Amino acid sequence: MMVLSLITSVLFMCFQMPDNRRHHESCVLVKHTFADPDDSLEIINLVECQSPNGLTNWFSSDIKKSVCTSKQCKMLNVRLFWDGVGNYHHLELIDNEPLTKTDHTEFNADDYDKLNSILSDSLSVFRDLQMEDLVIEKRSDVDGVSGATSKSLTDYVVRDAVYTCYTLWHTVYGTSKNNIHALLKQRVDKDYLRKLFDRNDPVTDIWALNTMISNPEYAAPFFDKLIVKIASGNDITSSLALRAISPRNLNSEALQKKLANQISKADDLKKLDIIWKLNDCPVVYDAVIMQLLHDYQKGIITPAALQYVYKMISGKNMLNPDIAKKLQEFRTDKNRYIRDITDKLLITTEAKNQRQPRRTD
Amino acid sequence: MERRKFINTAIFGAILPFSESVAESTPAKENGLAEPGRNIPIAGDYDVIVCGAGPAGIAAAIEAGRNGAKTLLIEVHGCLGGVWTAGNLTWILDNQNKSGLINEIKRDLAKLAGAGTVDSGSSYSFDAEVMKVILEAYCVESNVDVRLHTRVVSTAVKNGRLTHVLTESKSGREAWASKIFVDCSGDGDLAMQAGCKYEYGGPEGEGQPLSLLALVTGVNYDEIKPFVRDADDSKLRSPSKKRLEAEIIRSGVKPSYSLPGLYPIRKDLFMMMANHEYGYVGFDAKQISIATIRARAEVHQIVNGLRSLGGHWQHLRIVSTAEQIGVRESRRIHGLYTVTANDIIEGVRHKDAVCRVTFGVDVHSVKKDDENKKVYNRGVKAIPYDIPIRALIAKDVKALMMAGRCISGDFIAHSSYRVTGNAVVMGEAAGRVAAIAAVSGRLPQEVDWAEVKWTL
Ligand SMILES: Cc1cc2nc3c(=O)[nH]c(=O)nc-3n(C[C@H](O)[C@H](O)[C@H](O)COP(=O)(O)OP(=O)(O)OC[C@H]3O[C@@H](n4cnc5c(N)ncnc54)[C@H](O)[C@@H]3O)c2cc1C
Repeated sequence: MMVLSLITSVLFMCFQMPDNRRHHESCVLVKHTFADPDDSLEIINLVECQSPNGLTNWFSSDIKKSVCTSKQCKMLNVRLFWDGVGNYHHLELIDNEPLTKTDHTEFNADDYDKLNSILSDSLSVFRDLQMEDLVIEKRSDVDGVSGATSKSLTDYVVRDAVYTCYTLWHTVYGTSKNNIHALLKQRVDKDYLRKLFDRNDPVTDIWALNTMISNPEYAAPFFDKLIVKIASGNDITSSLALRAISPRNLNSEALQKKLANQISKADDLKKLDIIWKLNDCPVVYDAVIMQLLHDYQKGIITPAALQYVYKMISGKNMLNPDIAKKLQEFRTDKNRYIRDITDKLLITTEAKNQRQPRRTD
Repeated sequence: MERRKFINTAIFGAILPFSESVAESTPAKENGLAEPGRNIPIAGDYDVIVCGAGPAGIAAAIEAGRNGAKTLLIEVHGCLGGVWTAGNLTWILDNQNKSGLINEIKRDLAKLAGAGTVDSGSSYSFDAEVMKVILEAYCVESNVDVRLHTRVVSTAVKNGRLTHVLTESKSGREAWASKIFVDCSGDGDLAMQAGCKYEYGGPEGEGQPLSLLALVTGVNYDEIKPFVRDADDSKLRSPSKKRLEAEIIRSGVKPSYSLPGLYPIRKDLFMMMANHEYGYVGFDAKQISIATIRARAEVHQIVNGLRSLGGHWQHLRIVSTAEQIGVRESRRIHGLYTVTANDIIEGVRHKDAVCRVTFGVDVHSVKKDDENKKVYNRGVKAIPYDIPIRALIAKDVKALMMAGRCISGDFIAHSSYRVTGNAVVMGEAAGRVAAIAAVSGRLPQEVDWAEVKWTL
């Protein structure tokens, strides 16, 4: 396990935050120590800035590494920062020692910007590249991996510093990120997730929502919050919130109605997603069906969407007099398609109901 | 190597000049043949008739049907889907963040194990056979009458308004009446027949090359990954294509397209795009016949060549070559608005926007010489831009709309909006407007955009 040799110690109270932080409250600095999976003799220190409510403001780690084996290159000496849920934030030079390239020239401002954008991209090309993909020619004076940048990579890396980019990217998204996630995972419970949501920060939300998607048991108590996020207008959080709602959790009329209420606030893409979510529920309550039928009449959902509503109507729903009446109305809808699909629905459910043995009182 | 070359030349070498010469030798007829006048039966009367069942046409027909229009979809091939199926193009570009039918399609493909299983990045790959059956099911569900194996060959226009299309099929010549028509033929056949003016090609009138797509199997993704245009590869600007070209050349074949690609669907199924037929016009039957025969021979040569290399290629086989050669561009019918390169540069927005295009400019060189000289984006940096409904309404003939490849745009803009993710959305918008117009007895340009309730 990643956190096997985790040692945690409180360093000191901190009132001074690094530049550009999002959460500017004071915090306690906590130092966590991990074994380096690549080198059992090495340890990795991770500093956490923990706010009084137990949430993390940021993490940082000092990286001192060699980027070539010829001993002619300078060591990498930087401090990396992540936000409180493990997203890369920025890097700082330690003791103002600049980063250098294979020819020993120093990084300029554009190079730092480029490096920062590479490190901000979790899906960067480095994700699936091996060291040997990075360079095209070996030089005798420096290690092979520090040679000329492969042509297809030139646009994506800091030229002549490809190994620096590679090493830092894999630190940001490899060992260190795993350590951070392992730490946070241990803390996840209802209270922790609630505090995260209370931050009202889309970045934190994404982390909390992904946690719920992979652990559906955490989602149920947050139903109200999830529902609000569906119509938040933020495409990512809204999609994740909908994914976090398991159809199995939609097990009461009230919950289903709450979800269905979001349809009028959602865009067309989400409207269909909400209807598909309801479609996956083992039972859809009569009141919800009625609401969706009304939504069609009010022009809130399209005929295409109504067709999916019909797919969730069971024989039992049809016995509801209000639903039956509404469907009779739709038989004379001005849209011929609606008339046709309503007829088909009525005929097939009638046939199904007839096939079922009648109960005699 | 020599033996490989010999086998390929022995079988295919002869075909190329032969096909060319057969076509070239056809004498041009000086005098026409007068066809006796005849009464054509009216085979049907519709609210909306859609010509062509490619990505744009199926969307137009289904949406028209769902909006209450009695709808007919006419398609010359034996399946629905156009380039997606008859064309073997199993790769949907610009498909994200778009609402509507495209999401239904993706959902149902996934349900029926028809979605690609190799990570293809933002492109969506799929199994063409599953696509065919899904599209048919949608048409049945939305009450769209489908006429396969039927070609639109002529039109009747009265007082500037299109009133009928005429078709040819096994059933002979038939006439079909409709209130509104949507040309989704890709080539703008219907609009041209009705008398609409159109543009073709770039400033010098040259069009982009045609490509015959093939589905191939017998290789394993994990073994040939360096040659596959997958998600990782796309981030590096697809070096896989140059590697594949080198591999094809190693086998003794020089592909006519210098950026051949293997596009993954499943670990053992790929779409291959490896040839360019330059200088052929997609709406000239003689020219596409020549191009198709040349292209098919070349595709087989390439696959035979790769297979002869042995190793991970030793079992490479063609599942099918496309029935329809891929035609990148054809007639661009004049509409009430013309989408231009400038729209792309400025990222133009419209109140009556049907579609926001995010795919960049992608001009495949119009001549072989340009392949290494001209960049595919022609120096145009694309900002996501809107296509307004007006670009889908014909200017010269009333009651006619267009969707997909043949809408009103210039050469550069077309090379960006033509991809199928956009074609579907355009088709849907045209279908909805056509249905509203038809059912309410108006022309498409008389329908107030607010009434369409369209969301991007
Ligand atoms: C080689 C190639 C590669 C491409 N790569 C991609 C890609 O990777 N991803 C992507 O999304 N797009 C790609 N495109 C672009 C895209 O495929 C087209 O622009 C797309 O076909 C547009 O859809 P459409 O419905 O307008 O036309 P089409 O798919 O061409 O459909 C037109 C339909 O109309 C039918 N038809 C034509 N004339 C008549 C007639 N007279 N009567 C009856 N029926 C008729 C045809 O048989 C066809 O079914 C590629 C195109 C080509 C050629």
